[in-house]
This record gives sequence, C-alpha cells and structure tokens, in this order.
Amino acid sequence: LRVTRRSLLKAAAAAAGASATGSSASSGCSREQADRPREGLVELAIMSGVDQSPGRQRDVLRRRWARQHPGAQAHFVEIGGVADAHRSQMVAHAQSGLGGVDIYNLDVTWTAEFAQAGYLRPLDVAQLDLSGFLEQPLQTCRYDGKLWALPFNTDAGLLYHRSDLVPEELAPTDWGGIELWTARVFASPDHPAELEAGYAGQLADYEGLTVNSFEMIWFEHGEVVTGDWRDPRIEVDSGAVADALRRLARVATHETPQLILPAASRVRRSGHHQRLPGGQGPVHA
Amino acid sequence: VFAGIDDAKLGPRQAVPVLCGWLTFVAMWLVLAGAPESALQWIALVGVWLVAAILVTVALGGLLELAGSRWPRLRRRHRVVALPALVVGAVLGSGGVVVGLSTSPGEAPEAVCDLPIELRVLAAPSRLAYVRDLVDAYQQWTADRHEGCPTVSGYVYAVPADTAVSHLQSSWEAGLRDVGPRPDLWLPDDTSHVELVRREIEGAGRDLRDLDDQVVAVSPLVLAVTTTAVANGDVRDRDHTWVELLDLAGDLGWDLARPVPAASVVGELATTAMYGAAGRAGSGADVVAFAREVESRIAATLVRHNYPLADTDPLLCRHRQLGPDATDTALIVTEQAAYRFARGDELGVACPASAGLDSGAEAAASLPMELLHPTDTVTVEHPVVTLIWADRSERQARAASDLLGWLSTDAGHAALAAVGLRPPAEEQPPQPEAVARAREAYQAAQQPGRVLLALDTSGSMRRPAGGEHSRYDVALRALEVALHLLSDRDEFGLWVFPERAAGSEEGRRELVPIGAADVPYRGMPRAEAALAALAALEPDAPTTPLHRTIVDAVAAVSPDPERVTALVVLTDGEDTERDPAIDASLAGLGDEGVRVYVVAIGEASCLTEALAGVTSRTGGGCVQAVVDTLDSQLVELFGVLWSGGGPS
Repeated sequence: LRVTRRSLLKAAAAAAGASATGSSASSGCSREQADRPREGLVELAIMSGVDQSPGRQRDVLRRRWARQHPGAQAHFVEIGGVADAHRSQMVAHAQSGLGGVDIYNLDVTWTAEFAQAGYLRPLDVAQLDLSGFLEQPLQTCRYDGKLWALPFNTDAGLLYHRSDLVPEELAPTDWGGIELWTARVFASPDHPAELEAGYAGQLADYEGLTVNSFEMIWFEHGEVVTGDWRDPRIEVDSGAVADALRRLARVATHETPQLILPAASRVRRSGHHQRLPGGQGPVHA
Repeated sequence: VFAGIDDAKLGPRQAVPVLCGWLTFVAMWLVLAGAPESALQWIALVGVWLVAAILVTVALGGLLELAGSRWPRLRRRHRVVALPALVVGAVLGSGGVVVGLSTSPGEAPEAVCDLPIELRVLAAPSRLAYVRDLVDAYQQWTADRHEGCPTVSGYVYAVPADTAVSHLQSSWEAGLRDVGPRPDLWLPDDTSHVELVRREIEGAGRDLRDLDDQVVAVSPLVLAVTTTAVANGDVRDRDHTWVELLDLAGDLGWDLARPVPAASVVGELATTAMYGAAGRAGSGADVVAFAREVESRIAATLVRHNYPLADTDPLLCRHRQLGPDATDTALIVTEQAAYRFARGDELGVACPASAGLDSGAEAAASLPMELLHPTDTVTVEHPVVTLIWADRSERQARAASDLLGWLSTDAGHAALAAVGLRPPAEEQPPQPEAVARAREAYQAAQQPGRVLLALDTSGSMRRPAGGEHSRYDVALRALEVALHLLSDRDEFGLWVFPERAAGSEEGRRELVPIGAADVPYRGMPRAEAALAALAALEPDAPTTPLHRTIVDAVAAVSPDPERVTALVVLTDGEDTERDPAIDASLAGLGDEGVRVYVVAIGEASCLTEALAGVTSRTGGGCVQAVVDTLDSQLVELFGVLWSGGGPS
C-alpha cells in the first residue's frame, strides 16, 4: 500500500487553557496514586478523548514536556467514546463549575463555542512563539481577534491504494479518479476474485461521513458556507453541494455497482470495534 | 456652542478638518478593537459621539445661518425653536452613527444563543433511537420558548446493560475512560437494574449518592399481525386473552415469533404474560405443558424463516427483510416496536430507516400491521433514573428535573406519542415472582442446543491481546466461562482449523465430536475434554481456511427441529484460501437449519460481505468482539444457544 494523497480531514485538535485551578482531578476521573504531585509541584490536568494513536503519542508529548519542566507535571483525564461524547463531558464539566481541569483538548470545531461561553481564557500572544505551527490549524484556534488555543495534534486523511492494481504514477487523487480506476479494474477479466468494491470509506453516521461529504462537495467545487463570515450563507439544497450530496447518496446506496464497499456505511474509524476488511478494494480511505 | 467657537480663534473652517481627522482615527481604532471592553474605550466612544454632535451642529447651524441671511424672517424662529431641536437631533443622530460604526463591522457577530446546559443521557441500546427523538423534541420545545435558543442540550448514548450497571455501581470511576460521559439521566430497559445499582451504592459514601427513578411511559405487549392475516380470520371484533389469542393463532395457521427471553427484557415479559395467562387458567403442570407447546411453535417459526435469536429490533429487521414471505407471522412485541416497524424506522444497522430510497418506509408499507391487544396483557415500563452525584451542580440538577417534568405535560405526552409510547398507566407490571416463575417454566420448555464450535488456531492467535496473554489464551479463558453455561441436555462439539496433522495446511480437525454434554469423552466431562485438548495445542499455522471451515462445519451439524442448532466460529483473521468454488458454497448457505455465528477478534471483520451475509441469512450473527470483554460476549452468545439459563 502506498500513500498517494493527503487531504486535511481534521484540520487540528487544539488544547486550550481553561481554568486557573489545576491541581486536583475532577470527581469520577481515575488517576494512579503514583501520579499524584509531590509537594511544591505544579500539576496540570488535561481533559481529553482517549488517545488511540499507536504508542499513545499524546502521552509521549506529555512526558517530554514534563522532562523539560522539572517543577511541573501533567496528567490526562481521558474520556471514552466518540468525539460527541468528549464534547458533552467537557461542556458538562465546564458548566458544573467544579474546576480541576486546566486544559481541554478540543476538536477544532469547538474552540469558538468554548471561548464564547467563557470556558477558556485567551492566550497572551506576546509570550508565545507561534513560528512552528501550521498556519491553518493555528487559525482554528483564533476567535474574536484573540488566540484561545494552540494546535496539539493534527490529523490528515490518507488515501491508500493497492499498488498491484493501480500504478503509483496513475493513482487517483480525487473521486473522478476513483470512479475511473474502479471501472477499469473491474472491467479487467483477470481482476482478483476477492475484490468487492473500488472504494472503502467511513460512511457511518458520525463525523467520518461529514468529512467524506465535504470531500465530495469540494470535488464538485461546492462550498456549504459561502458569503462573508459576518453574514454567512449556508446552502445545501442546490448547485454543486446538492450535486455532490446526490453523488454521495448514489455511492452510499450502491447505485453505482462496485464503486463502494457495501459495509462502508457501517464503518467508523474507531479502531478495534469495527475494522475495515483488508484487501477487498483497490483503494481505501 | 456657536459663541464658543466664534469667540475662539478656531472657527468652524479650522476646526472641521482637525476634528474629522481625530474622529476618523478614533472610529478606526474602535472598529479594529471591537466593542468597548474597558472604561477607557467607553470614554473614547462617548468623546467621539460628543465631537460628532458638535460637528453636525456646527454644520447644520451654518446652514441655518445661511438660510437666515437669505430669509430674515426665519432668523428669529431659528434661534428660539430650531437650534435646540438641531442640537438634540445632532447628538442622537451622530451617536447612532458612531455606535453603529463601532459595533457593526470588524467584530465577531453576537452569539445568538448561550450554550445550553449539557445533559448526558445514558440509554439501554434497545431504547437509544426513541430516547434521542424524545430529547430532541424537548430541546426544540425549550428553543420555541426562548427565541429559538434551546436551554438544554442532550447527548444520548448507549452501552450494554451489564456495562452500565457495573460502572454505575462503582460510581463511574473507570466509566469516564472506558465508556464515556458520566450520565445525568439513565434509561435502562429493565427496572431491576436500578435496584442492582442502588443496593451497591447504598451507604457506601460513593460519588453516586442516590438514584431517583420514575416511570415516564409504558407500552403494552401486543400480537402484531399483517393486515392480510387478520382479514383471513374473524379476530378483530372480539376481545381475547393471551391464551385465547394464541389458540386462535394456531387455528388460523399463523407462525409465532417473539424476542428471545435470554437476550430481551421484552421477550421475558412477553413470556411472563403468556405463561401467566395459562397459569390463571390452569395448574402449574398445565403451565409447563402450555409453555412447551408455545415454545415449540415459536422455535419452528424462528428456524423456518431464520429469525435471529435476539432482541426486538433484529427480529423485526428480519421480518422486514422477509416482506411478503412472512405474511403469516404473528409477532409478540410491544405496541411501540410495532409502531416503529410500521413507520419504517431504523431497526439496527442492517435495517436503516432510509438509505436514500426510503427503503424502511417502503418495506413497512409492504407489510401493513394490525395490532391485537389481549385483555390480560402486561405493559413494559420505561423508567427514567436521575443519577444524584455528590458534586452535580444546581443548574444541571434543575435541567434534568425540568426534562422529567416536561414528560408529564401535554407537550411531553405528545412527544411520547410521537415515538409510540403511552403515558404511565394504572396497570402494574408483572411482579418479580411472576417473572421468576415464567423463567423457570421457560427453561423447562426451552429447546436444548446442538452447537459445534470451530476455533481458529492460526499463528496470529499467538499475538498479544493487549497484555501479556495471547489472543489464544484469552479465547480459552472466555470459552471456559462460556462452557459453564452448558446444561446436560445440550450437545457440543469442537473443531480447530486449520488442520496440520497430516501435513496439509488446509481444512480442520475435530477435537471433540458433537455429543451430549453429560456424556464423557475420553473419560472426561465433555467441556473439560474440550478445554484440555485446546490447552495442548500451539497455534502456529500460517493460513486461515475460514470459509471452507464454515461450509464443512455446517454440513457436519445435523439440523434437529427439537434443538437450537448452531455453528460458532471464533477467528482473528480473514479467509486466506480465496477459492471461488468455496466462496460460492458459502454464499449459498441459508436453508440448512444451522445458524452460523462468527466471533471476530483481531483482524477479523464482520464487515466482510461473506461473513455478514452468511450469518444474516442463517439467522445467526456476527459479533465484532473486543478481547477485553470476550468472555462476557461469549456468555451472551451461548446464553441464547444453550438451555443452561443464559447470562443472569
């Protein structure tokens, strides 16, 4: 499998300082005894979704930060479930007034509402070196002329393809290419018997479907939100957006045979619960 | 104003450019800085306002002077009346302009709504869909009364009952990480679960201080029959008891289907309703005889149409898939479930409400239902439990209480009706003793199982399962727990695949032939013999002939109308043979009378069409298992296959 295209799916996940009280984990949040801060240490509590990355990369970052800051420690207060579950718990925690959490690890789409609701404190830009961040993820941390968060980890969607069926130099980079190659591969009389479809994406009813929808909309040169940001217009029932959604509906309901793995409408990203079957399509998302 | 400017050396002509420049500077600053946030900014804003008022007054005053010089009669009037009006108008007008300038462009738009209070609502999986609808309706109701701004936002999620109970018993200590948000409200599908939690937390001084449960809705159990079937018989115009209705159904040749009690609270209550009616009509021995007759009819229907041994939604999903082929099936379900079926609602992932073509509604329209309400039926309760945490805030407590209060209003009743539920009724649900008696009679009447287990022993099973144990170790431990559910009446056999003994890496090997659980094998109780044989194996084969094993195993299990006949395959990989002839045989399975279940761990996936298809067609199931909870998932599965009583 080779990576041929990178598209920014989740632009960034950002962490933002949210509370001045920071040394006691909230009720209901388990913490190992060994993690308890020593006398005089500052300890930060980071409320976050469970880190599902290989090797727990967020924790690697945390440990590295702790080594560089001998007078401080940090621990995660992890929340299971999907992104909506994380948001719900974070909002409820912020509204409870309990404190005990210093940093929320927010999805980029939540920064503005958390800032607007007064759950975050703005960062002092003058004291920060912002030179190392990607501009677009950093932009998602700004709201109302202030900086409320900093990018913590940024994910990118990848499109894999079977290099034995699709040559690397001709690998598809958009939906048109996927359709073309699916038709071409299946038209070949000696295509592998185990092939079920051309494309396997995440089309279950969760944020993966939203992202796949946007990919389809952008392929059709559409935009859901248009107009000035002070006077946004949202249009989904006509023009390129509607064309894109119709195309996605056709794909999702398998009107176009063999284009998409039938099981894709049940696929979520969440690792061990539901896995994409391997080797059944020329390309995977 | 005029005199001041006139007396000074700075006349209007000199003052205007200076003041305009300053005005522009301050206005720009306000525009860039956003709304006044400090006293200084407010002073500046008011200052600009005053200066603007002076300038406008000067300009208009000059015009009036000019007019006065042309028309002398106006001069006196202008000094008495026009000037004060001019000053007031200028102050107000310029104020509006300045404030408008400073608040319209360049500033973030005002938030239309405050962030609503977040309510975390935990529901039983079987109740997730309608609870979401109810919470949505309440949010909309609050929005309609607050200028479009909802005052509450509900996040509704579901976890299996045992998971919910165990985490609530431990005050959600590990629940935050293992499950998700700590719930404010809980909607279990079994009121006994509330008592399980309450007993554990009582006096324990835990974070979960108390549970406050109240029944907010009910749904009676009904016999749902297609309109065609009812039209064939004279059943509409008379009241019937459960016993009479079941007799009538038999006379009319209707098939009978019901969710399996071991997997469904509704199934258990339906059983209680039917057996209770029989008990009132006769002796205890009569109840057992009645139970055997009813269970035999239900089992025959479930096998004939490959209805799954599961809860209501999978049963109805299969019914929807059968369409006209199931015209004569009478379903024992709740009124609400029948309503959702008729409306074309989603019935699990295999039966979406609408997949772009409104398939759910179309399918429902092809099977119009008639509901028969027995006079002695029971109602299924829908409780809502308020979880009283030690540290919950007043606002969150009030939000939860408001939602509950709303459910008892007319608007709440309308929302309940929209999801097919009724307000709480006078009728009491069956007493626990009645449920227990029905459970006993059911176990005596339940068909025993004949199950062949095929275990993957490919090399990948040696991979670690998250800790120091391998997948194979975890699978053996889980099987040990599941085998304890065997009753003496059940039959059991064990295969492993692939076979390597004869030098071939294809096929399978029989470790324990299918036989009665109480008949020893090689001098050992059958379950022990199976575990000992597995313990002596070392998974090391490089291939996984999964599809071939399923095809061969189905052929090896003789179907028996008096038994629940099933094949259970536990695998961590995909089929590696990819033999078109074998795949075609697999795709042809469905009418053998053997239910195929696949327990997929590791890289194995229930999303492959081959596995999803064969398990669905045969009335079995594919379980995407997690190694951490493999034992409880196997217990749940074998609980419906064996007659040992299932999980309790």
